[in-house]
Amino acid sequence: MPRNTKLASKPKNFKKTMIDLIKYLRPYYFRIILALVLVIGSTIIAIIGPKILGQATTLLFEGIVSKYQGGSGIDFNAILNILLTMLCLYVTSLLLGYVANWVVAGVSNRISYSLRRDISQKIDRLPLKFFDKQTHGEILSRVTNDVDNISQNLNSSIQQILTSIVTVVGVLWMMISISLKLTLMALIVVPLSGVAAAFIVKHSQKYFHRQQAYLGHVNGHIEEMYAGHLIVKTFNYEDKAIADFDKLNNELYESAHKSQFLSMVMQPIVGFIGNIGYVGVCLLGGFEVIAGNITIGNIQAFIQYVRQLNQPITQVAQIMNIIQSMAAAAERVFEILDEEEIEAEAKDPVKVYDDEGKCLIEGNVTFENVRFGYDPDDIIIKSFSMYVAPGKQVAIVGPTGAGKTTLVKLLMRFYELNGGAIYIDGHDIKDMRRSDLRSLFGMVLQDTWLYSGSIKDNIRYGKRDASDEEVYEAAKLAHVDHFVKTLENGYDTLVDEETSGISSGQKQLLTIARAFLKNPKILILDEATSSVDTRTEQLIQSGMEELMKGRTSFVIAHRLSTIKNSDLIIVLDKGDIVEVGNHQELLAKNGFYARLYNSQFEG
Amino acid sequence: MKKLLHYIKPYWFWVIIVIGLTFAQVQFELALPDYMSDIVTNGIQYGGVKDNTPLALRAKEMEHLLIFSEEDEKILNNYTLIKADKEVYVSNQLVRFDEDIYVLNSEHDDLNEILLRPIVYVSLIDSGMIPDIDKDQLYDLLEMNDSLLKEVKTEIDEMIKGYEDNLEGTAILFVQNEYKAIGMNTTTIQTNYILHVGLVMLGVSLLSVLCQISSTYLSTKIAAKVAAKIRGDVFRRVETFSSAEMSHFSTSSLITRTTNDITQIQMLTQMCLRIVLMAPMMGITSIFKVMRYPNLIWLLLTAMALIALVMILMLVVAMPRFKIIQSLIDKLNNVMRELLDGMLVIRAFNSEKAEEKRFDDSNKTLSKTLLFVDRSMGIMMPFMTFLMNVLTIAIIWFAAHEIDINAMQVGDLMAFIQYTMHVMMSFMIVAMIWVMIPRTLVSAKRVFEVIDTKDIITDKDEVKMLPLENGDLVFDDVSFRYPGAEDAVLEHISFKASPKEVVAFIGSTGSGKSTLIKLIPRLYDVSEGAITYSGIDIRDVAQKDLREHIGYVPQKAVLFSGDIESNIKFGREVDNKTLNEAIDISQSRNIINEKDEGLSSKITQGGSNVSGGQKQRLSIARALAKDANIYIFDDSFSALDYATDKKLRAELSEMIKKKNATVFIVAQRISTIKNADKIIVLDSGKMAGIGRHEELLKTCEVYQEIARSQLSEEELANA
Repeated sequence: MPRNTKLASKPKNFKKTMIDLIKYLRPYYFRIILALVLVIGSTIIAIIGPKILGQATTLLFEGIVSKYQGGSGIDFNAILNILLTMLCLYVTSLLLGYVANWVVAGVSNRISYSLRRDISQKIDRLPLKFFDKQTHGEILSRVTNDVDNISQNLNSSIQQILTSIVTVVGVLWMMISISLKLTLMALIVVPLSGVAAAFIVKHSQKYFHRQQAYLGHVNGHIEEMYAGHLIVKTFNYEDKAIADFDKLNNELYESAHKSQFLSMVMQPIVGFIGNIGYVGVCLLGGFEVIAGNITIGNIQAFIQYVRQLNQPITQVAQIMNIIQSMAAAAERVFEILDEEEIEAEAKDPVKVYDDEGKCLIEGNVTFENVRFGYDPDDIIIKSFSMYVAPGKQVAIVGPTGAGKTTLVKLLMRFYELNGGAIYIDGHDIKDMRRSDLRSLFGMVLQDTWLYSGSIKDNIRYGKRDASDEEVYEAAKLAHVDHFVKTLENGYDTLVDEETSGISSGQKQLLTIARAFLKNPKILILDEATSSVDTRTEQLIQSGMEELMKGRTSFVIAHRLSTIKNSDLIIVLDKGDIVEVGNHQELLAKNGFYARLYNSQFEG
Repeated sequence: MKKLLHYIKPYWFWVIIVIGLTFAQVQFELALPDYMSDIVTNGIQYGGVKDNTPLALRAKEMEHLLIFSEEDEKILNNYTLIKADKEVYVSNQLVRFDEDIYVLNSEHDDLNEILLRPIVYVSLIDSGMIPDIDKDQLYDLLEMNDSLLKEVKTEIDEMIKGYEDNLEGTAILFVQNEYKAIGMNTTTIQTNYILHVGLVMLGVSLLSVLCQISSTYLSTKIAAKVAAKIRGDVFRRVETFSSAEMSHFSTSSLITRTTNDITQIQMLTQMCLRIVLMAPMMGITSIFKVMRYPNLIWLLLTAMALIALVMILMLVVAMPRFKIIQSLIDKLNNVMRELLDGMLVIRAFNSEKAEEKRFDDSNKTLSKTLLFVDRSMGIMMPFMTFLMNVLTIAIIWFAAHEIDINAMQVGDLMAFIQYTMHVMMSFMIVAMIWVMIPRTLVSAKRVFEVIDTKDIITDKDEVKMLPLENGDLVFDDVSFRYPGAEDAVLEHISFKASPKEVVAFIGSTGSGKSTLIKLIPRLYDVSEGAITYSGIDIRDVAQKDLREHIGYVPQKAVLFSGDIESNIKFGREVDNKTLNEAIDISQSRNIINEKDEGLSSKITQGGSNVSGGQKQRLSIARALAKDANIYIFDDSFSALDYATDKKLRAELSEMIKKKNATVFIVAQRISTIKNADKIIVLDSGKMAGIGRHEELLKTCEVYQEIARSQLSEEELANA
């Protein structure tokens, strides 16, 4: 769906969001007040400008009239004085306005910077549970689009709101000071245009929502038909697809036309009502001048004030929209920032390393009556217990969705248990610091993850302070050294998302090298090599075997032939252990595992 | 742009109307300051007296005027003499005066020029310019003595030397005094005049708003129509695309082109029809109006040049930064995406702090650049306002001198200021639009790229009909390369598949398996060689006819919004028996049973509410529900567990036999294809072997390698 559907969204809790946002403004109170003062100053000049200029016009008028009657004519000196005063004032106004702009831009920029920083830090403190509910695209759009929206609108709306308020108050003051009668005349049309605007907005909203809905339908249809193009083609579905599209497209046209028209017709209608006021002021002003109640220059000034007053009033709707869209964006950002964080670290954590940094852990792993569900109402693992001695290799097998990966995630405390406990060398993992606990593990996952940086840096991810030699050594152990050397820039080759020279198998090898470098006590291997060609697959296989030597390791197996030599095979189905034993024992049982194993080879 | 115009062309009539309406609107709108100027100059300054031709005057004064006039007859012809104490209406006022008066005929010649000087002479003499002589006596003398007349004329001419331009004002004062003298209410004249102009103003602004509303209506309608038409054309075009064109554009890019890009075009069209048309008209009309005062036009031109300079400067300084900002945002996004994708790894390696720093670095660079741009763009608006203000000051100063010599009126000055503001505004709008148009045109270009794409796969003019019976499908030395690619993906592939046979393809990624089977439904056309079905080259057959014979299950299961039934039937008539059979064979029965609403259970867009395995089974059911001769499974069993996979294949082979169909299977797992009648082993686009499982294990090296990685030693030996 296009982003513009979001523009129409309204914040759920406007007040709370605005309070949160204002909290972010706190460190900048002084600067905001400064900006406020500057804006007031520059607006006041903008407001008194017409009145002073009006004096010049009055002088001109009086001069010329007196000339007809044979008088002294125009007093150019007095006019020049007025104009020079104005020039000075306008220069001041320019400076004040720009400095205010400078300050506000700085504040809004700082705020968007800190919002982004806070999100990125918050992300590291959020439980993984959170990310299961959110797509990455959604979070990304909050970090960039929403924060951008906040900062842009903050920038413009702070200034706009300040200027508007000062303008309305100041202009009204000036208008009243010229003539109360004329002011009332000019103000009669304000509620009129307000009513007209509200009327149009109300009606256009209806069509606008309809347009958004139809746009959604059309876009949805397009997305589906394009994404399923292969199917559409092979099933000769094009005619139906086009017929459906035409119907939706026509509906969209109808609503788009109406909503666009209504939203664009507002300006002329409000403008016309404004013109009625303008004419009224011209008329009434004329009579007042004849009656001698008012000078001609003041009429000129007054007419300009009427225009100036109309602007912020017609902008009110626009500003409200901006604030609303900003609040909606801010709400989405604060939703992340207010998310529940991971449980606090244990108060008195277990010592994992001695003072010289030597690891005190052997690698005993115990699961005791572990109970867990991503959603507490939907328990996947009901009661899981097992013991793994140091240096043993444990394979976890089972059909997709059986909970294999979940077990591993629990072991590294990415999720909190709903019951039971996991122990490493007899210590509950909850009593360890997360960083200590995770430092014990090395893992090679199905989804290889490399960040934009050189190959060397990517391997070094396992141990930040590793020397180049250690990196090369790890690469050799992972059988990737040769390949890296064939690359033009060797270990300094940059990897990024679009890197084409490195296949997914080779990426896998790089993550194995990373695990070698880390030299962990416990290994987790999510062996997935389905999309890798046979030769690389064998390399990966032997790399992994090398890595497992002498470490407690958990292998999540997709292909049963590779784990036959494991010390222990745990067969999972729907989160429960169905069978435990080594390959031979399990085959002999002729149960779930045997069926699973045999089905691989039967036709 | 040209292509876009092509789409607007059918509405040319309406476009012309829009242009006309916009022109009218601009004329009406810009007439308002003129009327305001009228109110100030004629209404206030001259008390509602428009010119120096009196509507009525005393007979005595008329006689005085005639002394100085050379066209007495013409003047008198235009006036009617009203005797004393007779009532007469002058400018809607009932006048009754105790002397004879002359009243201007309702139809009269232009007397302004003829009357100007006589009125000035008379009014100066009346105001006591020439001392020590009784005025009535003087007039009597003047009438009789031509030389004296000449003398007085010269004397007065001498007096008003240098004030020639101001004579009208003096004359109007005379007229006003005459009105007062014959007892007319001058205030009423003034009020009536101002009211009259005010009403005209209201009328004009009403006309203007009516024009604006109708042109808005038409332009939004045209824009929406154009957008709908283009959208329809793009969609139709894409529906004829083959896989080659699809992958050339990429699905996501095609989606944006059909949606957002077209919305952009709609906005652009609307904008062009409204603002782009209006701004220059406003500007030009205003310039014409301002041209009446040629001595001041240089002010305007200077200001315009200054604004242009500022905008160019901004563009030069800020534009490159905009591009940089986009790339910095991309970079920040990229870091964030990596952070999210690598969440597990980052936490496992305890490198949260390092990642935060990496993000912070991007964040800081972005913030700094944004701040620079914000601040440099921030000067624009205050500066523009400043320029306008200075311009106003300058106008007042220079206009003051013009007014002094009566080349201009005070009301004109006020109108001039407003016109100038209009010109400046239009100029700024045009400048801003010129900056925006190229960006929107990019969208148009992207859209027309799609419409202009030539189909790679087309039907021949005369197509052959395929027989209904299933026949042999033969690959005859087929090679294939992607359009524009140098290297062939498939080379010299030959085999024959007969009815009731299961033909399987295996090979590592990139070996060309998926490409090969896409050649069968002509999703691509062969580059060399030929594929024949029932003895007919499939390129001689209509694509639709060919595809009617094929049931296809793609690698990535795709479902459409609707319900389970609509997804399986997929737009065709399927009887209940076939439907149930398809559900059973594809092992989809329990998916349906699990759901409360059974077959009519909703499927959301993209099938996001069913699991991967369920999607795959339903997409198999969809293919089986089609009464086809050929079934193609492109690695379609990967998301199924071994048991389901096995059961499905067993029931499938039964159905094939019954239906006399041919089956093509692409697979990764040897177990899936072990029992196929023919296994074709592909290696880098070439056939590395063909035969049954047992044969290949003995003869084909590539096959052995694949088998070794998937099967244990015993199984290999057992085979």
